[in-house]
Amino acid sequence: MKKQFLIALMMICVSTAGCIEQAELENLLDTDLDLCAGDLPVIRESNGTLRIITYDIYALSEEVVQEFTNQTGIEVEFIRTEDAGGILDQMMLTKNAPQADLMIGLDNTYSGVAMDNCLLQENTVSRQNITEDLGDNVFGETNELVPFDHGHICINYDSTYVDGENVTVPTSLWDFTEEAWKGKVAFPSAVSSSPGRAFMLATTDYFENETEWDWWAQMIANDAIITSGWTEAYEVHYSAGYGQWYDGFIGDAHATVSYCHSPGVEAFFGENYTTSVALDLPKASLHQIEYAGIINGAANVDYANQFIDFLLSEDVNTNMPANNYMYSVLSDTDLPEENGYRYHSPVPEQPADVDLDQVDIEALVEIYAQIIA
Amino acid sequence: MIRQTLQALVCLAFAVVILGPVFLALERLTRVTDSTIFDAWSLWKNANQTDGVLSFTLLVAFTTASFTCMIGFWVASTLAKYEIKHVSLIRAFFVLPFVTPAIVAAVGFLAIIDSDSILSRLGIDLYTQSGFIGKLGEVVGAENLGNFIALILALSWFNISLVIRLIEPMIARLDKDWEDQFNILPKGDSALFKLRYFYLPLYGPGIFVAWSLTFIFSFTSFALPKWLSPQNNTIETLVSIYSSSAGIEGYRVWSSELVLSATIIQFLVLGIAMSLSTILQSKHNSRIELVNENYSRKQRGKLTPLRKIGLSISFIYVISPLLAVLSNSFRSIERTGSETVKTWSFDGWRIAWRGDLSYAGIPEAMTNSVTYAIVCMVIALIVGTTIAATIKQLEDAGKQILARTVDFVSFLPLIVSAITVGLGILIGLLNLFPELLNWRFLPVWAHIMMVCPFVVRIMLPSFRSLDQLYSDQARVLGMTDAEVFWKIKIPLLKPQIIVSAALSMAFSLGEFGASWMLSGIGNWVTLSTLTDQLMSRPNYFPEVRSSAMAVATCLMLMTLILFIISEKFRDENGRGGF
Repeated sequence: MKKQFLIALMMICVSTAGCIEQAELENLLDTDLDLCAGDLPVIRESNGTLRIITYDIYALSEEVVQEFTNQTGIEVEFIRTEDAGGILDQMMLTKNAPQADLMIGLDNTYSGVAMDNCLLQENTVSRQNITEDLGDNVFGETNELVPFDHGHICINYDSTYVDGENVTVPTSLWDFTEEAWKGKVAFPSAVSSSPGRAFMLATTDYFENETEWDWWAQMIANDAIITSGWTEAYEVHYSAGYGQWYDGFIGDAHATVSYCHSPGVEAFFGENYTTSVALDLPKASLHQIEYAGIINGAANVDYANQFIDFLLSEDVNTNMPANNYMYSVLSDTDLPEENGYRYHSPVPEQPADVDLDQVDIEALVEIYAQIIA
Repeated sequence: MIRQTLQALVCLAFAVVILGPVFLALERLTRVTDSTIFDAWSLWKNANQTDGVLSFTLLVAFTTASFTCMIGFWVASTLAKYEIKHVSLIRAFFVLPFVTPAIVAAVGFLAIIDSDSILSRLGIDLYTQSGFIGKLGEVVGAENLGNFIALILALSWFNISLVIRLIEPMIARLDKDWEDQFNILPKGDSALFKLRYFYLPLYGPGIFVAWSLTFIFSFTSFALPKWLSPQNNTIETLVSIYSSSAGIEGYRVWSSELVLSATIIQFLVLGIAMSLSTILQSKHNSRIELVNENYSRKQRGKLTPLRKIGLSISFIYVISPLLAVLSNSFRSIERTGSETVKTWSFDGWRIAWRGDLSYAGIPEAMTNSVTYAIVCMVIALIVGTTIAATIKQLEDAGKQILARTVDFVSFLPLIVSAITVGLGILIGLLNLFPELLNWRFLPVWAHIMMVCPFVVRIMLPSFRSLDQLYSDQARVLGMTDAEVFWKIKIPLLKPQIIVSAALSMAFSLGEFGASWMLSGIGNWVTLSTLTDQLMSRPNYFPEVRSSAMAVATCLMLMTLILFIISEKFRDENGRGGF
């Protein structure tokens, strides 16, 4: 009994602690700095090392980073998060006292939040080699964001299941609400996965902002598999992905959300063998662009500019398809033809047209979360 | 006087530095969500992703605790009652899982239940849940029954040693004459009567202590549900998914609400379990009249054939995940188009050593792990021993309430889960001291929080059993208090200090939940986070899994060495604790 009393006492202390130290904490935590109005004082003392916050980006291998250090003499260290959402969370958490100089990996579905919260500052990187329509900043007139790779997100399906007789190739997203697809479609959650988020946004355009939530509700009713991340949806559940060759594979989904060029990646690593196909339905895909940007309040702005330049250099960026399984942003580049990489990677003819600058994505995510709950 | 002041300061520092981040995090979450901790239940009910999570977590913890106590009691009674050759060695294998890192257990069980495994070939498909398991799930109306069974087996594997540790010495030292005398009572031949009036009063408290501790550890388990039950969230895995955006003003407030409510609910459930366990522990310690266990064993004789078979099956159950990890570290996959062949090779080891598929190789991760483990061991040993000594002194001074308060506070870190500990440091502390992000030893903070309660639990019984006469005689001979401490007490406590040191290092090496939370903010890869990192890596490269298993094997071997050291120094009287 005494122990229970102690627990209660402790919890009361916790609940009142906020009142006692409120004023002091307000000062410390919520200093309302107008980050966008001018330069922040450098809070982190520079130790001469460039700090990059990123997620598991394969292009940033040890060899690539070492090459940068050899060329410039600048040492690099990383703060690695689980995914693009993790980068944004981390930047928001340390908004008033940034601990990194450079962000690499926020995509166009997350960048709006970063821009709204003034988390980035302008850079001096030249965009002359970048494909023209990728270089435009959809979030404003300034140039905080520099694209470094891109690709389209769409549904991939298993061609051994879609045999054309028992199951035909879907011609509408509504087809996935039918019995043939019951429990056989895996979606990475829009709450916690950037491909999931991108596809959810595509559906708003596909259904013209009218019936997208009905469709999602019907997908849930049709036992759609919702996973927290892309890896689980693609590797564990998708029957035509490379997950089938490894431990931990379930393979109960014959369609999933991934990149339209994922079948190409499958073929590239599988000696031109894949049973996975990208479904190119009008407005059912979203063009995802991944950005690099210098963090507002960075300690090493010059180093960060140099790293972005390096990331856009021909040696590094043209290797994006092989090293990062994404398209290069440089002009006149494409996926390699080797092993059917390009052949199995259709470019959507009519991707969804979503004005990411105007849409309240977080509000949509909340609605989505309520539906899939 | 100076010594007492120092002790009081250490206890106070523990409460502030160790528990402070968690309280700060709660303060932050309540402010961001504009609610109080008393709103936890309504926040939980209104949150989007919480349907069925609490009931699933409770079901997992309850089933695991019950199942573990059943098989643990059976194994403990077998080891305790009968004459078995090399019983110490066999017992050591049974208690090994408790110090085995959770991530090693997770990847080991994943290898065991894989579609390619012996279990699957026998028709027991716990992972994809096809065949018999799938049909059984349909019959009993349980979704993901195979995953659930795999998770229970893995959690039980992890906790079986706890049951054996707590119960086996008690059974081993029970005088068989008691049973014989009971049998000749008028109703002594009735099984129910025996259970009600003999076994339950004797073993009940001990079993319930083991049950509640297993419940607590299963309730807060992270690595095992994360890997073995991907289709059902527990509170711990749910919090891990949404915690990265928690505690941020005006951004995804719903994630803060979810994390706040989950933390409070977890705190309450675990607090109740822990309180019950503490109340019963005193009964567990004082009920039984003990005899020499060898004498007791001789009275019962050798193992029956049925016991032999049962013990062999249990032994296979305990050893197989570890063997699976080791053997799979040498299994590489060669893929040609649609064909794959599994071959034996050192490729996984080579790649893991060089870090070709990760941000760090084994040497760097091992250096980090060992450094953290040593720092954690030194600090946890000093703090834990001081707290244990303080509790003993307070008890001797008749200040029972204060002694129990310090005792309870020392155990609090186990009531908050590893994920909450990591979260506490992340959102509680880093908002006040963001420069800590650059501090290489940040993860040690979390490790110390998790390890200190165990050190207190190991050292406290030793302090209690120290004969005051030795100290008194030393003082009569002219020794000062400091000399008594260094020349009398420390040598007498040496075995427990070594056991505490070895276990502290082993727990630190294997700590995963808090390290996983904090590894996202820094560049500190440990062996446990490296294993997870490799397991999470897309499998375009065929050596991903074997290299993850290679890292897990390193981790397993290091904890095994520490375990052997601790077992070597653990005296027979110290078998009834952690």
